[in-house]
Amino acid sequence: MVQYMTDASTIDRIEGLDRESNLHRVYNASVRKKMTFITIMVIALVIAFILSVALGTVDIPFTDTVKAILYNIYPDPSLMPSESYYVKFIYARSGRSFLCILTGVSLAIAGTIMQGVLRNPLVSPFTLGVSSAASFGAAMGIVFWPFLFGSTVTSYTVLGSVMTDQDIFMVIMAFIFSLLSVFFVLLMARRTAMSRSTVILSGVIISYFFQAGVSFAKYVSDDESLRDITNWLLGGMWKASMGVDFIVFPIVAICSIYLMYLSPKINVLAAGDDVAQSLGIDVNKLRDKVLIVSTLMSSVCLAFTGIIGFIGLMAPHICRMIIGNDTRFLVPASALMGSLILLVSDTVGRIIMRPEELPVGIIMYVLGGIFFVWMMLRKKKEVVM
Amino acid sequence: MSITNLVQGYGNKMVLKDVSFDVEQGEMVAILGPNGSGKSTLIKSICRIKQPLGGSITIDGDNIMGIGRKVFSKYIGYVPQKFTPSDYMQVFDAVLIGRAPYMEWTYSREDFEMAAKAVEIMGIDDLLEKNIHDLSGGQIQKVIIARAITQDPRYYILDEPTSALDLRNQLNTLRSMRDIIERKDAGVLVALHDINLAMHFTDKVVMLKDGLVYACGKPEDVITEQSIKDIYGVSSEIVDGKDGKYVHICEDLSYRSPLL
Repeated sequence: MVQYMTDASTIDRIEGLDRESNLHRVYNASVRKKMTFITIMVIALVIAFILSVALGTVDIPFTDTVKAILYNIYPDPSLMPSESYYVKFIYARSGRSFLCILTGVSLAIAGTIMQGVLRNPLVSPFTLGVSSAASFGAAMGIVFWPFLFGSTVTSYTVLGSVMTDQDIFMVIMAFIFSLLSVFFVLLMARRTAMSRSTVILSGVIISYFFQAGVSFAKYVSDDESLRDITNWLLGGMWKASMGVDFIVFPIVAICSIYLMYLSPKINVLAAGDDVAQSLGIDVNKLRDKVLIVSTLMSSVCLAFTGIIGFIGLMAPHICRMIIGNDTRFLVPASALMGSLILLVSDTVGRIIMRPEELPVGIIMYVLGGIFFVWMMLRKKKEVVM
Repeated sequence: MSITNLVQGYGNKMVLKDVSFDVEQGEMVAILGPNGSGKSTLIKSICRIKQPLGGSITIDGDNIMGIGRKVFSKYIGYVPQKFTPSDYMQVFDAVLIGRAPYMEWTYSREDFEMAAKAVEIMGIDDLLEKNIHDLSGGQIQKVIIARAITQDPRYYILDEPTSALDLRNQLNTLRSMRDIIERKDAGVLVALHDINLAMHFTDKVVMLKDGLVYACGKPEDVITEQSIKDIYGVSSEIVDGKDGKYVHICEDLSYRSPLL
């Protein structure tokens, strides 16, 4: 028999462990680093928000902007800015900035979660075909509304902004078709033999099918619908208003909280399906649940903003590089990063060629393209999630 | 732990036809068998990664096949053959994952203590802050065993833990498993390819052939020239060495395929 016992000194050392182990210290230090990063992101987002409502066709001075924001929250005469119309301006612009934040949050969280449960750093609502599916649904909503419900459109006023039942119909259609695309992804994910690149390829294939559908919708639509569809496909914040935020916010908030709650379980998936299963996780059930919830939150935003790509890819990736893989911290960090990128991009889009504005969707395509190339170039080995 | 009449298959193909054996606490049991004999399937069935089609697994007389996954994971810890971790995963994160069945949102002091012990046992204290992708195969193996120790199960089930390791790391891995048995009074079931490792490190050997138990018992009783011939189709010789018996392969190694 080979001598297999470890020497007694190892065991003695173990019994005499300090109360705070090295592991505990390393862990605490990493948590501090993560929290510092999240705090910096919160501050950056607040600054970006103030800038985004201050800048536009009319620039509002910084102190007046802050006062007007506060006045909107708590209308105290001492908070009244130098020009009283600033208050209304800020309110109107806030609607748009909030939608940027909500969209950034939902796409970034959806991307983080999808990457986590499919263990693939290249998946996001955009690369899995959710965006094209949502656009197909929305296009169908625009084109078939008159056939289904006639030409009458009922308007509602929500938080001072006008919304129509056609808008709501579009959102529902976008969600239904997004779910369809995720259903395909789920089918793929169940087939464990499928490689990472195949999942991405399948996303591309799904996108082609839905793009064909969108082209068909364009072909059969009248002038007005065609304009609506084209605008929608560009991806922008034209529809933004407090009313839209009012619809989107509860859905994004509930989905985010739910996904945050599940994040310790999603962490376990990082060790592989088999290990996760042996650690008490029902892998298939968890994957189904979180993919459906991520699709819901991203498609609701996409239905209002149109196609906005790459946020769900960029934000989680940058955050992973800085704070690592712990989903509990990665979800809030990516959410902040996603909304920051989108808010800054939209603000730049609004001021770069004033008084015209550049749709944020176009800016995101350019940023995303550059990011993708950078990712490919810096990876010497195969991308592993 | 008693495994009784375990049946498992994929579609029409039965991989495990009727497998029964026991693993006691404080005991290390090896599963030997050629490729396709059902070693991995057996391990995945015991770990409920693939729910068995029939048979039972009992611990202290309680059938553990029907219990909740979380409770189950406190009985059985699984060490996979391969570990392909996510990008940007650090060693301390990988080890702490083992506390998943116990934690809700944050890790408790006990979680840290268990993980720290595992780190100490496996001697990976200096690797804690490293990214898993920067580690060698042997170091990764240590990390995944540390993760299993952190889980603190009563039985450890290992799927060919030595297959990707060099000689030194093969010995180290099995030594640390022996160490765990002594310290935690745990039971270990390990699928192995190397007959000599099974001969020297384990208390009991289960030989599988075509989904059935061919032989089960003490290594020196089960690993014989005849059994090796029967299950692997290889001629061998059992020789006495200074630490016990060794298996010496006597096949004609000069043989070449007639096609070449």
